[in-house]
Amino acid sequence: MSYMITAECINCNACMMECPVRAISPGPDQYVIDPEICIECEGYFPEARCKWACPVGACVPERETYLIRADTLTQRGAPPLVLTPAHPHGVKRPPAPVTLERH
Amino acid sequence: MKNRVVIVGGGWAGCSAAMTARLAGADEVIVLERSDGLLGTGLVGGIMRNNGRYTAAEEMIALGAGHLFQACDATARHRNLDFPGHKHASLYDVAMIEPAARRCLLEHGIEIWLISRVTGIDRSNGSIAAVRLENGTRIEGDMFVDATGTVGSQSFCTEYGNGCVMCIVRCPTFGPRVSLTGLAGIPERQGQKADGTIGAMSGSCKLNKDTVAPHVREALEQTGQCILPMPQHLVNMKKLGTKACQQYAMAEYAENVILLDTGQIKLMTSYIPLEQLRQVTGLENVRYEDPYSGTIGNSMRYSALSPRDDQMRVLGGVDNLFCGGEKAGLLVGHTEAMVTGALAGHNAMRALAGKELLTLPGTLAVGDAIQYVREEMETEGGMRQKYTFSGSVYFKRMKELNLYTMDHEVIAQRVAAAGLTNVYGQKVL
Repeated sequence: MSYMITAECINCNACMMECPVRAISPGPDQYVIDPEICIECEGYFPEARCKWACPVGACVPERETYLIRADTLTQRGAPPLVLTPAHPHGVKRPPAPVTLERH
Repeated sequence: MKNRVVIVGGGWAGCSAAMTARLAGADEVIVLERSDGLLGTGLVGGIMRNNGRYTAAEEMIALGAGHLFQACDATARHRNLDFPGHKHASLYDVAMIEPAARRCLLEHGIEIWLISRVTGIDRSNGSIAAVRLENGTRIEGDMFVDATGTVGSQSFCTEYGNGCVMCIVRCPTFGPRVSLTGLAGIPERQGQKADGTIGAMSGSCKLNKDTVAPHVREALEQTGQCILPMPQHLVNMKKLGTKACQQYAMAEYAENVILLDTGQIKLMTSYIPLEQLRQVTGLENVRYEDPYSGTIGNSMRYSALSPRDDQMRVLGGVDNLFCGGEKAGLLVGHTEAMVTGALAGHNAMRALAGKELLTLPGTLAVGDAIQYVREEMETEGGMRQKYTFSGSVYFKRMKELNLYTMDHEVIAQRVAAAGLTNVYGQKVL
């Protein structure tokens, strides 16, 4: 088991500074915990140090449900839904990542 | 190339910002909403036009951003209602308002993305180049407005409140609120209670209308309100201090159960344990409509306030980010969210056009409030207050400054004297 950082991360760096085993590093969007290194602060602190440090509560025990929520919503028939004047009840966006560029 | 303003958050502030950006001439306006519908905590509405909010609504109409206010007026179940501490309120129907707001936006050519939570940004040369959804979709834009609100996440409600109460925000389903200001790496502030500790609890909840006694339901539907005395042994004065909505923190609210008819029943208190509520005559079989777990508490607010100037620009880090709604300060209410959101959307377009940004003058209640709240928040103890046109500190100020009025002529002249008649209705580009 490991801790993980959810999308609420605000990139403040507090967790990285506190981690006793250097499991945390900055990623492209947010900080990430290496699950191979994280030991949930066992032997170091009574509770996970990153969880204690995080100002927005983004450090949580790893659970698969967090990781697959975005996919799950899409698989259960609730992908991003786009409403326009021509389609006021919405057109479902494809599940694959797309880029909406400007023209 | 077409220009594009991206509004993150589809609550009242986001809808208002989308309208003014579009009216100002944006080619494309996209609202990105995390959940399956617009308005967010606005769905726990809908008190409008009470006390100083009347003035604010009429100023906004004169300024040219009246469409959403008119949607609220059109769906009003009760008009010109007086309830304890408040005069001439209008109550919108919490079920009908979302379709009305949605139609208004779509009719103006605004695109709405639902189930589209922004969880990342791409930067380029000191600006936000694009935002990214949870599923990887990347949406480029020229200007961005943070209207993500300040309610929750679940961990915030647990840490500073009574836990997740399964409220309208529905974090477990759609993912909790992610601040756009936060994604840009800009430090944010948190609202405090009167005792200086963090957190302010949402101040009202909903009861299921089918579960109250017939005489209570009739009183609500005919007069818009029903006031029922709390049994003496249950009166609890201490809870008033924890509410976000200080305009309703009066003794009458502790000694009575105050109910308003918004389609469902709006209960003017943060929460009451169900077994206590059921000791009130007329509420023997009552159940919560929202939050589902209203027995234990309510959602927590003001978790992440953006540093901003009086033109609603977010300060620090990126140069194309504006904010409205609760992000913009300790302002409580739908009206307040629409006021700040409108300025954010309009100024996002002025910035795009390379024009001087609009500052609403202190001769208007809406202008004075934006400046005054920012200044107060910078003072010692300022983070413990809440501000609203409808009561408490700011309504008192409105009266002292002679800003409070219901006279449409006076308000129209006030806006004209500032040279701002229909300013929001005119294209800047």
